[in-house]
Formats: sequence, C-alpha cells, structure tokens
Amino acid sequence: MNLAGSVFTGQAGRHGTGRDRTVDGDSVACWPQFAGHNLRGTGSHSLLNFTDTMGNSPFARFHLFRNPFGELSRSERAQLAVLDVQAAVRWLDKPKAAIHIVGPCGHGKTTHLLAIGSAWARRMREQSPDGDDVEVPYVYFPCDGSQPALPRQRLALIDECQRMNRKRLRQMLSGNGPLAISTHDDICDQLERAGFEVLNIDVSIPASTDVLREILNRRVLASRVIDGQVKASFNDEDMRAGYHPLCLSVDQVLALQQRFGSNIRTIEHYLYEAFQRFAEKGEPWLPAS
Amino acid sequence: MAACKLTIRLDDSQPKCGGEPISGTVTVTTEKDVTCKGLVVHTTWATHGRGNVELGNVDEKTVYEGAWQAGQSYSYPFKLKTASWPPTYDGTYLNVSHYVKAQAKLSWATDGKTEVEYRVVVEDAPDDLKPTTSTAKPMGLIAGSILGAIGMIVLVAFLPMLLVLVLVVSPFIGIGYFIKVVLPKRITGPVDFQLQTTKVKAGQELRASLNFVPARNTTINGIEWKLTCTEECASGSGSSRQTHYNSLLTETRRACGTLALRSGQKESFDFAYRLPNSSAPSLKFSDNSVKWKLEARIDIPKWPDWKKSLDVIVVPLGPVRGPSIGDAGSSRAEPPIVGMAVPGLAASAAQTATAQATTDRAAAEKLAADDAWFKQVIGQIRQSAHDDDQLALVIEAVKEFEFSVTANVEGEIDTPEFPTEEEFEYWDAAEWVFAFCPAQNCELALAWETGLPSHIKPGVTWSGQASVIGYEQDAQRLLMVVRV
Repeated sequence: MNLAGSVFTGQAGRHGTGRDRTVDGDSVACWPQFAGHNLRGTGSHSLLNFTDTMGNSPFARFHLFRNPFGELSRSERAQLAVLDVQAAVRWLDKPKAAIHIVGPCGHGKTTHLLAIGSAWARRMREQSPDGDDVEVPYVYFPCDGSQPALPRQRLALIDECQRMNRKRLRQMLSGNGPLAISTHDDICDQLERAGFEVLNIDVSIPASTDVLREILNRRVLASRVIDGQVKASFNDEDMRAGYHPLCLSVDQVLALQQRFGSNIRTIEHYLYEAFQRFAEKGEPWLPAS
Repeated sequence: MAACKLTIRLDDSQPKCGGEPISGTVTVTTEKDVTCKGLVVHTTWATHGRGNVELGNVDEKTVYEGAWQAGQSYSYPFKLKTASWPPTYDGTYLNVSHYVKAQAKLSWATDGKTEVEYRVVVEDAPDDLKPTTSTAKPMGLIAGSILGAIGMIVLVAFLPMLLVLVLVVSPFIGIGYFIKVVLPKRITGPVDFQLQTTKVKAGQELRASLNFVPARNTTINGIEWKLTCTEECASGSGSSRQTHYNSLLTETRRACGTLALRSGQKESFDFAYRLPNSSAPSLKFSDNSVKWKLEARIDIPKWPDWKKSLDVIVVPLGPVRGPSIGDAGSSRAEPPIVGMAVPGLAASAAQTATAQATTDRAAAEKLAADDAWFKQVIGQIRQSAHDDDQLALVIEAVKEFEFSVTANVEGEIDTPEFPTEEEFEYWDAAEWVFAFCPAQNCELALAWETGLPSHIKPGVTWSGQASVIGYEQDAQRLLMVVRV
C-alpha cells in the first residue's frame, strides 16, 4: 500500500472525557462518548442480533469483531495511542516549530506522529469558525521509488525522514513549518541550524509495564462488539473501566516484556498468533496470568 | 462527550448475496441540540489480520441533514448496495469483513459513529479478483497522455543506462532460462500442462492435464502434482515491511512413480481434485491475498526437473440452502485443508474418508476452543473472587457470553446468594440445580428460568448453552442461567 501523500483527517472532541497522563485534560484517545451508553449490555436480544449477524465469525464467541492484535488503520493507531501529546501540540503554536521523533523500528514513531496529527487536527477543528474537519497530510518516504512531494498545508506529518534525498531535505528545511517528523537518524541539529524550534521525542525509552498493558488492553477493548455495534465510538472512560476476559494482567505483560523487550510490534505479532491458536484450536490464551 | 449516539439495526441478519441490497434503520439519540451536517450511511468492506488494513467503499447515502433536539430519538431507514466481491472471509492471517457504517457529521462536536457487520456470500468471482469499490476512477485521457509522455521522456533519457543494465543482467537470465526450461525439455520434449478451467467453484472438481512427447528414451523418477493454498499478507511498509505466509493447504500427490519414457510416445496424466465446500476463495488485494496454485513436476534423475505452476481461481460455493448454510462463505466451519487428489476419480472413498476425518478434527478443535474460552472466563472470575468490585466488573462483562456446558446434575438447591436483594428476588423465581462440570473441574448452580425440564434429575448429564450470572464466593460455585 502506498502511504505517501495520503491525508489524515482529525476528529474534533468537545472533551471533558479526560484521561490518565494528560496535561490539560485533552488527549489523543478521545472517542466520542455515547450518551448513556450501556456497557452492561442489553440482554439476550442484542446477543441474538449480534451472533446472527456475525454468523459463524470465529471472533463472535468472544464478542470481538477481529483479532485485537492485527494491523490497524492509521486513524485507529492514532485513536488507540497511549500517549500524552498535548505538550507537543502546544509546541506547534510556536513560530517555525518542529517535532522530531527519533527511535528504532517498532517503538512507536509513526504512532506518535499520527497521534500528534490527530490531536492537532482536533484542536484546529475546535478553533475553526465552522467546526469543519481539518486535514493533516501524512507523507511517508519509502525506501525505494520516487520521493513524494512535501505538502503545503499548515502542518505536515513526515514519516521516515532519513530516506529523504538532499533536495527534499533542503526543501523541508527551507520551509517555515510547523513540522512533525519521524526518523531513525537524528537530524535535530540540521533542523535547529535551519532556524526551527525543535521538540525532540525519543521513543527508544521502553514503555513501563502499566503503559504497555494499557496499549495492549486498549486493542482488546476497541475490538469488542457491544450491543451488536462494532467499532462504535468509545471514550476514555470506557477504556479505563472496560473489561474483557482476554485483557492482559500485569504478570502477563511483565512476562512479555522479559521475553520481547520494548519492541511493541514484536509483542503484538506474538499475541496475534497466540490469539489465533486460542480461538482456532483452544490452546491456552497466555501462560503467565 | 459525543452529542449523539448512533445505533444501526439491520432488517434481517441473513448473509447477503454479493450485490444484494441491505436495509435497516439508523437510530440517533441526542444529548443536546445539534445541527447535523449530514447523517451518512455507507456500506464498506475491509481486510483485517496480519496484513495492512485495506478497505473499499461500496455505496453511500446521506439520509438526513438538519437539526436534532436534545433528548430525542430519531430513526432513518436506509437501503444500500452490497459489494459483489470480495465475500466475507475468515482466515488465520487474513479476514474480510463487510460493514454498514453510519456517521453523523456535527459542527464543533465529536461526530457520532457506529458500524455493524454483516456477511456476504458470493457465487462467482471477477476474473481479475478486483474488489467492488465506489472510489475507483478511470484515469482521464489527458492525465494518461501526460503520464505516457513523461514515461517516454524518462525512457529516452535513461536508455543508455538501461542498455547497460540489460547487457549485464541478461546473461544470468539466459543461464537461468537454459537450466530451468531448455535442459528439461531436452528429455521431456514440449510439455502441455493446463487447467481444464482456471476458475473452479468450491465443492467442484479441479481438473488439469499434463501431456508430453518425450524427446528421447529415458527413465524418470516420477511425476508429482502439488496443490497449494496460501494466505499472503504484508504488514508495514518500506524497510519495516514484512510478508507473512500461512499455508491453508499443501496437497502433494504422485501422478506416477518411476517410469520409462520412450521417444515419440505420448504420455498423458490427468489431475482431479474435488475442492471442499468450505475452500478459501481466491482473494487479491494490494497487500493481502489468498493464492491457489497447482504445480506439476517431472522428476528427472541427474538432470534439472521440469516444473511449472499455474494459478487457480477458487470461487466460493455461494449461498447454500438447507441445513448446511452454516458452512457458506466461510473457511472456518470446515477448514480448507481437505481431500485427496485421486487422478481421474472424483469424490472417491479415500477422499470422502479424508474429508470426514478433517471435519471431525475441525469439530474437535472447535470443542477445544469452546472449552479453552470457558476456562479463561472461569479463571478470570476466580482470580477476582476476593475483590468484590473487580468480581462485579468481570461478571457484568461476561453476562452476555454463552458457553457450551456439560455437567452432571447432583440435585435441586435453593436460590444461591446474590450481591443485591433485587438480583436475589429476580433469580428466586427460577429453579436451581447443583451440578459439576468435569471438563472445567468446576461446581455450578444452574438456573432454569422457565421451569425445570422433567428430564433434569440427579445423576443426569446435562449439555447445553448457559451464561454466567454470578459467583458464590463461599461455595466457590459459578452461577449460570441455562439458555433455552
């Protein structure tokens, strides 16, 4: 899939939903909250609706609509990110601001980038006179093939910057920002020399057990089917108070960290396979519980 | 907080034949006065699993624009087209699901959104396996001409470089072609390997033939057919892109053993294989696919083998009427690894026996999966037993799940204890028995809301569906209501 040049549309949120680890009550994962949404379910009628509609879906018995640890779309990645990006979004108010996200593969650079884009778009939408969606272009630099053009919108999310050729890099540095970029190679100095005010985010610092647990459990909770509705809008309250029997315990997450370190992508791949074996063959869900 | 809550109810829950319209109602419940810039309902398909998510819009309608008042509930019927391809597919690395989505676009408020899933079964596939989307637009003539002109300019500019590349690479290609194609043909002569039809429906026979006239007298080790079905899913992109393979079927059969070939004497071999009803359909997206291939190999001693592989398009069985409807459109009810290739003999006793064995294995796996799921839930309840709040959360979350239970009935009991008086009074109207579930090593209190059936007596083994409604901490008993 060619991700280059696609557009990421942010969703606004009149919040008050709040969440943990936020600076000012605003955050990335702000799902619209259903008025009086009944997490307790509505009894056997809805169950019948759901199972009938889902037919023999292998996930139906778990009241899930998918393997929670599969690949997510970009908007879902931004929604499910367990990150506080408010400081980063405020940083973008500065003249010629740049956010520089650096770290190895599988540690969440792209997720950071998308989360910042989502939160910024939401903020812009709230400030716009007509309350319309704000588009934040996401540009991915592939390891081969042509170099995508840099967008001219107010904020650009630029992924895998280390693959930019000199021309594109010069073009980016000659702009006025704001920029949010992810890269394997540190280009902080170049950005500063070009006059950018740089906020550096190093994602190589491992996530704590609690954060990793929340990341993984959010995936389970966001894959639930509630009252027959899938991918319905969830809010942070749902996520904090929500529960599913396949949610991971602290011990299970610790065991995963000991085995896979801080590479979240590898952990998710492992859990994908474990869930499939559990759902298809009845192998135990996870050993440490 | 969202200003409105959306709920979709479909008019019926039956799987849809590809392209058949789907209808239902979107209900909007509003919390405050809002102006809706558009209540959009659309049908979509999406892949999910190990590979990158791919999706397509099928049909879309704006069913309302205007104001909503606080505290009101509004209903909007809709009727939309469904995709004629791809069908719903449940695999291991790849799944294809179809959804009806509704989104209320609101100004200065979080959009209300919801989706419901429905299943699509199809009985034919497009030759190119291209999914139905409403977004595919043919390239305009001007845009095409510009691109063509740019292509020509690039080609001319890099022609010398291309020529050098061709000169460097072509000897290696030539050597490869000589070893793989020319040398084997010196023994086999020209080989005609073809499928009777490239498109085969699940449940029908895949037939192929291999004909050749040997170029010289020799003896071959044998001829082998190999039918494979593989899920291929790519995740990530660029340097972090990974392709994941999951083999759904690898069936290798020998067409013949050691065979003496005589120059000029035609040799013919036929392949026939009845595909199981639940065969995975061929699917092709950008990053995700299900590929069927039939390979023929002539094993030539001390010489490069002749080998060729042909793509097969497997079309789903389509809607099934009658008792086997549960099998339609899914590879899960019966795994796609079934059957044996029996040259020239379709649906032989051996193939039927293998199919039966596979069905039995699938049933055993499903049973094991049901037990594992129930065990997981019991484990979570027991772990929470010492924390009333956590226990209440767990019980509340699992109340809607149904489990397959087999238990030995030991006798009638009084209504067990419940955390609230209200719950106790409600369940006091039911009839309760004490039972033991050996598979889970768990004591149960089973409730029948509509009266105890006459056959439920001490010593009887009861099997059925039941849902968890509580846990008695002192007696360490799971309280379950029987779903009749």
